[in-house]
Amino acid sequence: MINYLADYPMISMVVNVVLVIIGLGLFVNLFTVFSAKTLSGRVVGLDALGTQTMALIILYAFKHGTDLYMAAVLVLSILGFVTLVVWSKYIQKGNVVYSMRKTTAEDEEGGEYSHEYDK
Amino acid sequence: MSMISELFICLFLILGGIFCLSGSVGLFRFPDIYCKLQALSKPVTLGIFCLIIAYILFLFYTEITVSFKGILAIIFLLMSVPIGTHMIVKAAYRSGAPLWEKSLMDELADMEFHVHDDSFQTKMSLYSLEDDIRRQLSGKLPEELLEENMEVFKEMLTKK
Repeated sequence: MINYLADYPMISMVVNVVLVIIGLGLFVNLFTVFSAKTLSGRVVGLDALGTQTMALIILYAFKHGTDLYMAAVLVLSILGFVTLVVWSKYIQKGNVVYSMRKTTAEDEEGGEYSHEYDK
Repeated sequence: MSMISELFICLFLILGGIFCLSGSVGLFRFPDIYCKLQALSKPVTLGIFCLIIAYILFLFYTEITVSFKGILAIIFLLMSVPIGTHMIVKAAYRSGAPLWEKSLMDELADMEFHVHDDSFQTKMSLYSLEDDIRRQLSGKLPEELLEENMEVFKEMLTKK
């Protein structure tokens, strides 16, 4: 691995220190995921894990000196957003894909929603 | 790269690290999902912003590139993080996640509803009824039409 930061010793030291700090943060996030009392608490902990993985990738990219790692950060942020949206739908309804009309318990039993205006 | 720009980059890096660590400690320590969202949405994303800004500055000062992808990532995070956190906290509220026992008030209690409320089913059925009638009458809603449909409305109410 080419260490691009060899010319900049101060930035190199700070990057290493911040890597350790964010590693600690990831560890704390794991404890959050395990000790949360509700499902949404766990989901929030996992989202913070994803965000800090992005931070790790940025710090790793410092050592290579290219712009290419930014694409990975973009993809991870999009994935994190999609997972948050999907989890929130799942937590609300117990189902990810649902029609907006199905709201009552009667509909969840499987009967198609029918109203009898024609009588 | 001059000494001052190097110091500037180091400042942003250290700020980012501190924000990230404090955000995750806050996530661990806060008692409540509604407090935890505070720690998720603000410090963690602020830490990411600081790190991305440091990276952009680094690439700029070393004359490698001007990182447009970094700016794009900042803009996307600015848009997506508030939406995601609001969605997840709304879902938590609707699924009946408990409040902290020391929290003072629940201002959404009148407008929203927990699943565990007794009135949940009746409220939901009333909402769907209202939707149906609106769709039937398709916007033109004089009182005569409402009176015509009053029997249907009552029938459905008694059925529920």
